[in-house]
Amino acid sequence: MQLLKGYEEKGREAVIDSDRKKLVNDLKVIKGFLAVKKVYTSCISATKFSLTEGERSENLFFRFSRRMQMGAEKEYKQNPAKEIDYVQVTESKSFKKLMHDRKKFIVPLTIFFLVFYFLLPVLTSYTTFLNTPAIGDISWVWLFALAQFIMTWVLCTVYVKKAAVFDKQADEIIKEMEEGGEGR
Amino acid sequence: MNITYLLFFLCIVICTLIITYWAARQSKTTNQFYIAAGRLTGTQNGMAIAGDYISAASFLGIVGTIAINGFDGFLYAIGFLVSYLIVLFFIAEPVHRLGKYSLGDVICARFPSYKMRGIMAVGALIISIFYMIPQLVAAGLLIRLLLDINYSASVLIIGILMTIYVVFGGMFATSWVQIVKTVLLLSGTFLLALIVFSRFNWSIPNLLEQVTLGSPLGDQFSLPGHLFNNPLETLSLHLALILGTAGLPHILIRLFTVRNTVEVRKSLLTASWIIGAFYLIALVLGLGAVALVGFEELVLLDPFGNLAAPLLAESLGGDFLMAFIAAIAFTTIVAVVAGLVISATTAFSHDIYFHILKRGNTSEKKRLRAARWTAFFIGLLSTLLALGLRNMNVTFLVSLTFIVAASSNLPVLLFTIYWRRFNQTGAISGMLSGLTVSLILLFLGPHVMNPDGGWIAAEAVVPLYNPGIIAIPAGFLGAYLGAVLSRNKENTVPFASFYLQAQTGIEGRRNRS
Repeated sequence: MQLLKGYEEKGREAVIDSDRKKLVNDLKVIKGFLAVKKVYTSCISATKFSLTEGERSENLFFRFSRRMQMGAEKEYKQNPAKEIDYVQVTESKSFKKLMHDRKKFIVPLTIFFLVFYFLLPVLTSYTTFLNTPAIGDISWVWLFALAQFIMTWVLCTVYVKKAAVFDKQADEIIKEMEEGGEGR
Repeated sequence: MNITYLLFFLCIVICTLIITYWAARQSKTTNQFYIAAGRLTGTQNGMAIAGDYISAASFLGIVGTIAINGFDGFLYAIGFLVSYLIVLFFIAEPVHRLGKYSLGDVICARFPSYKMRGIMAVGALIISIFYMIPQLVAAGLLIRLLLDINYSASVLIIGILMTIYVVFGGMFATSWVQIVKTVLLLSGTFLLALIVFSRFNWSIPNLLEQVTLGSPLGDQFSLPGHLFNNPLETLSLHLALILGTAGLPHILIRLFTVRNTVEVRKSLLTASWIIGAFYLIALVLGLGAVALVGFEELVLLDPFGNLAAPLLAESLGGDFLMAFIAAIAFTTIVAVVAGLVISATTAFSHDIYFHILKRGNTSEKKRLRAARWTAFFIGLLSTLLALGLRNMNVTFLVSLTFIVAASSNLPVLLFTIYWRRFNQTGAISGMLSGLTVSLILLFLGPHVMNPDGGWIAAEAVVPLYNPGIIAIPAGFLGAYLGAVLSRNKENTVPFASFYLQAQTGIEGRRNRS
């Protein structure tokens, strides 16, 4: 189902670029009536603004969309879409693991950066010990301030790296959900 | 007017108009108009976010504040940067997955009702317009000082330009104007910083020595406490700075202009590198301004030092360099106000016109026409407001927007995305309490009530210039109490499907439009 967004886009483009045959073939890959119907409706909304291209394209589109609808209905009758139980998925091991992993990663880092960030104004407001020179004439306050920049850059980079792993886990969950509807 | 200035300005204006012309051909659907059809790459979007975020207040203001107040000016910049961690960790991905065009979409993915959408839209409108007016007023004053044309003319020029970009080019034009601005701003200021260093034979101690000679603060320059000497005020400001960004609608709608969450993260990573690098450059420019221009000269034209960067450019490279930096400042302003116009436009034409007034039933053509007209009227309205408020000190509206964003949008976003027992009553009470408390505190605070030239000449009831430390907890509390006390379950999408969509991107059982 993750693919759907891509297909929605493709549907729009296909109508405009008259590259329909490929789309129809691609669509056959997607299972379930709901999935195809969604692309179909998005195609319809897409034509609302490409109608100006002339009657010919309009005609072609409706033939195309009817074929799609018929195909989708046929496919639906043969292979009805499973109702997905979302509660069950949120209770599933893999989803719980994803949320646990995210929490374990984000919460300590957040506490760290909030403390680190507020430490600077607190220390400069209530104490003066950071005003002592550290390197040459440069005092600790400046080093602390520069460290905030480095912290932001490092944490952003680390998160972006780590999020690739979360993305994989999320894709797994979506896949399980589509295959089994049970999500284990 | 000097011919060098004129050439630079014409160059910028023509460049951005060409971008708009090109973008106009790709703004023929609402999808393209509002979010550039999600076609920007992460890097492009990151540059656009930086362009949206670094306002004239940041560029000229921070350089000036550092030049005049030393370390405390730099402290300001840190909050602006660190706030991106909150956006990246908690807000960015769920917002991208849940919303289509506006923040209203995000909240209505869980609480689909017209009331909820209306309140989110009003919040976005208030924040965007409050932020736009000081930008325009500052722009008018600045361009008057730099170019010697009168205030009304300069506000009109900027107002007309920003309206043209948005009306004709939509999000495409806005994004590319912002990208061009980021490139110009970074390269121009970097060049200036290199010249500063070259004047001191690339030696930091030499520069610092000259700084202590140039500033009346002397040795105290590099120590904190010149701008913020009230600890509560300092903490309050920092709270608003770090939490505010995550609630700013014009930044958050930029998360919709990319394809997927990978690009969202790449956008924010790029933005944080650019913004960080920019503030480091601003630090060098601030130091350079005191060292080379001198304190007396800096406060001569503007007591807050807002002209520090152009003056530094003039002392380093004469008229030509100053014209270049002035042109950059100009681009900075138009890019930011264009971003604000499009965010206000989305809130009105997508949320209020399309969803609430038309109940989601109107043709694509009409929607697009409505969006363009909204952009036109918002441009007109804010230009007129800026013309009318020329003699008022409106700079406090900038810090106000951060406080309003952090106390209304942020709590509602966080609770909606992460808290199972949150409900629509809580979301509405959170928005309203955040908005009203921050506005009341503002009117009772020293910006408005001030015996020394305030709108109301009386002692302030709440002596805080930045009431974030009261307003932000009030917003969170309002949202929490609303949810706990009402136990209202109406207009709620089942949490499981919503949560799955927010966390994994799977489509829930609701139609998104």
